[in-house]
Amino acid sequence: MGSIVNIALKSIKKAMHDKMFIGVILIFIIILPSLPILLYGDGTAQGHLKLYLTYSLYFIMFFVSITAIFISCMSLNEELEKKQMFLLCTKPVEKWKIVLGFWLGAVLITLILIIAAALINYGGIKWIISRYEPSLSALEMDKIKEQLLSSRKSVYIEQPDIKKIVSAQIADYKKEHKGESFDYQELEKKFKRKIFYETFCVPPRYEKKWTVKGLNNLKTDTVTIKFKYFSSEKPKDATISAEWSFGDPLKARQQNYYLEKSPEIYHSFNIPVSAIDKDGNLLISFTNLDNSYLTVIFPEKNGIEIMFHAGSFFVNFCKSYLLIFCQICVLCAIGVFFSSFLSFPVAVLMSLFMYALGTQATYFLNLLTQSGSSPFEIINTMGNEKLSFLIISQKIIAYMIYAFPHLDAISPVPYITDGRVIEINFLLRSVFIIIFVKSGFFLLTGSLIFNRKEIARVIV
Amino acid sequence: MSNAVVKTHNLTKIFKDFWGRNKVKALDKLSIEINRGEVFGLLGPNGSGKSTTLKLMLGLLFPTKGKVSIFGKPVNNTAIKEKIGFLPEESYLYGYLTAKETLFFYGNLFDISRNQIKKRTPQLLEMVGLGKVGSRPVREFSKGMTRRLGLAQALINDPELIFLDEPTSGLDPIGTKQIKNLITEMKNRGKTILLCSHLLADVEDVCDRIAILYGGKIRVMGKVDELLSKHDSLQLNLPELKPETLKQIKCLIEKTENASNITVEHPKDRLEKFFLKVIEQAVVDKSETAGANVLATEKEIPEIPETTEHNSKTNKKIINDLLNKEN
Ligand SMILES: Nc1ncnc2c1ncn2[C@@H]1O[C@H](COP(=O)(O)OP(=O)(O)OP(=O)(O)O)[C@@H](O)[C@H]1O
Ligand SMILES: [Mg+2]
Repeated sequence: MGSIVNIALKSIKKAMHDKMFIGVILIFIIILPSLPILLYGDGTAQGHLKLYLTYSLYFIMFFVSITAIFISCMSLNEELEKKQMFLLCTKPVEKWKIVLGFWLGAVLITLILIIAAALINYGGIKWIISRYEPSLSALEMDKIKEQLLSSRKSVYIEQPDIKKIVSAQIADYKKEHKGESFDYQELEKKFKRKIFYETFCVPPRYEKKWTVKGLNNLKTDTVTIKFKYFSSEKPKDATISAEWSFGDPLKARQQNYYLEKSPEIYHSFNIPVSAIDKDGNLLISFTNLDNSYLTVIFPEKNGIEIMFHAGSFFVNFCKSYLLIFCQICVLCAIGVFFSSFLSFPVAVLMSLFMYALGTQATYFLNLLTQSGSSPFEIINTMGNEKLSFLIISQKIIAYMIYAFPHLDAISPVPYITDGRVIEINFLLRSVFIIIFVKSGFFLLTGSLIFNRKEIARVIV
Repeated sequence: MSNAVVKTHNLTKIFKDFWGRNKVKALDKLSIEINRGEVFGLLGPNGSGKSTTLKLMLGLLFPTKGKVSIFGKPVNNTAIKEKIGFLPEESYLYGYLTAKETLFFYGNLFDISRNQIKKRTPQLLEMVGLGKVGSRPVREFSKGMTRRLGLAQALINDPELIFLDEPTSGLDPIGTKQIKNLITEMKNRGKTILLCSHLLADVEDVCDRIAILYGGKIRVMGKVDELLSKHDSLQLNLPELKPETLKQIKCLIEKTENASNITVEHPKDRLEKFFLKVIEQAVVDKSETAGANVLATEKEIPEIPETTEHNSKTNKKIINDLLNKEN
């Protein structure tokens, strides 16, 4: 442990003596405080704050990631090229400790940067609020704080287990039509569509009911309903009228609302918690009253969401920086890994490639598997399709992407800009998977490569 | 249990090119044994495989064929490195660390207590003549100063076995002399030293045994005294004689011994000694230098730090002898 820290501290000393590095950091430190002024938005307090929250976080994440990549890519190979490794490797230090030391050094240097950025970022938020506070009413201020500077949890309407239902239906179908041949995929598609219609589509003058579970022990007076829907055609008056009612009249106080809202964008409104029954269930019923008789279609995911307060913004803010730190850990591991066998420019190139792929990993995975699911599901569906070269190579690439660090999955931006709580379970899982499993994988492979390396060989 | 600290058997190293084709046979079936407490010199022209041998022994290169063992263990064993010191052909140090930080950094990689390192650091710096520049960054050092620091670094753990690859390259004559004394002192303290050098005179003075490499193969190996003693000529040192006396002596030898190749010369004052005298004067005059303070006055002569109780007076004595000889 001592030698790991010793090597890490040496890396920090090196960074402190690097004029270029210090210069870049200074520029960063100068740009950051000017962001609240530059990202002005539409001039409203809400617009200003939202824009700042989003882009400052993106900017910090991007800058810190690039720094981590450059520092870590310059670690092992630089010492190999300058032959300083001759001395290090003839001291009683295991090779894996050297690799870990360089990783820790890169992580610590970036950590200093992250802490500075977090302080300036938080200061920026406070500054924007203080700027608008005198001119806003308490009510307006509360609204901003509730929507942006909060830490809200959310639950969604219960999803039907489509897979299970479909496979049961297909089994029934098979029993009924014994001996007949049928197109499996076609049938599956048909049943899936049917369930979707039954669950998420509301024809004109029809009522649809959903239950939301898990709203126990709320410590607030109101919960926020956030929804988005589509219409079968473009409505003439640009809105769709509907009646919403919340709460099962037999178990809680029912609340009714008549709303005319436009399709395709998110809307939200508050309802009192009295609509929730004592088991924490909320019954939502939606009646399509549109005058032009259009069908309303809710999206399969995140169509209706119920949000409520859970924790403070400050805690959430700290958690979001912990997520950024996770990202840095894995990027440093990737950089050190590449620097164990590549020259600096090539290592940077490869790391940047991995970084770019990592920030889009979920998207690529969706593209390849259509389901965005884990490889176990990919295997399960394998038998149902005709195996072609294309499909096999798709699967292999999907596997490889799955092994990648999914940086987009741990990005704090959607949480912070939406005022959503970063759940502690999610945080711990991310820390575990990203730092221990994925960083560990890269560091272990890097150590193995470095261990088998002839230190005094000329690097070609 | 044999007495050999370093043992190689048929050690062969072939450097390959990018495509895996054999290119350079740097070392060919080298088998040597270096015993405890011995100073072993590895000589040879440039590119004869001296540095390659050292790197193989330290695990920086992997042998193509053959075996190396140090303290009876394979070289990739980390534990044996606690007892090893290494000065590479060039001092590959970190420019951004100061001399003190450098010693601290390397010292902390060993299983030595921090207090011990704190104590040894200034002593070592003093010993290699860098006592006054300990807090300057290494990138500002001259070649010789870096070399001296490299040497201090190799001794930070008070090693049992020391590999020195051309320790005197880039050093001034006094530094060279000091290193020679240092090696002798180490030897007196029972350390084993493997030394590569081109300065034959120095090797001759300090080494017990030498091996001469040529093209990766051993040409000669053996005890220095035995290798160098000539049995067919003699040297007489006499005070200044009158020409007649000299003539008489020459006649006498010619008559009785029937020898013809007799030469008469004055013993020359060696340049090294002359240089020493000049610098000694400068030190006595207390002239300032921004570089390495090569030799201190009699009172300030540095001592080698040790972990065990030992007579560290030897170094001092040798330097004193050296200075006083002429007077
Ligand atoms: N990393 C390497 N790759 C390829 N060839 C090498 C490498 N290192 C050394 N050699 C070759 O091996 C041979 C021996 O080199 P080595 O450095 O051991 O010589 P040396 O005896 O130390 O010479 P010098 O007196 O100049 O220090 C040389 O021909 C050299 O070209
Ligand atoms: Mg050499």
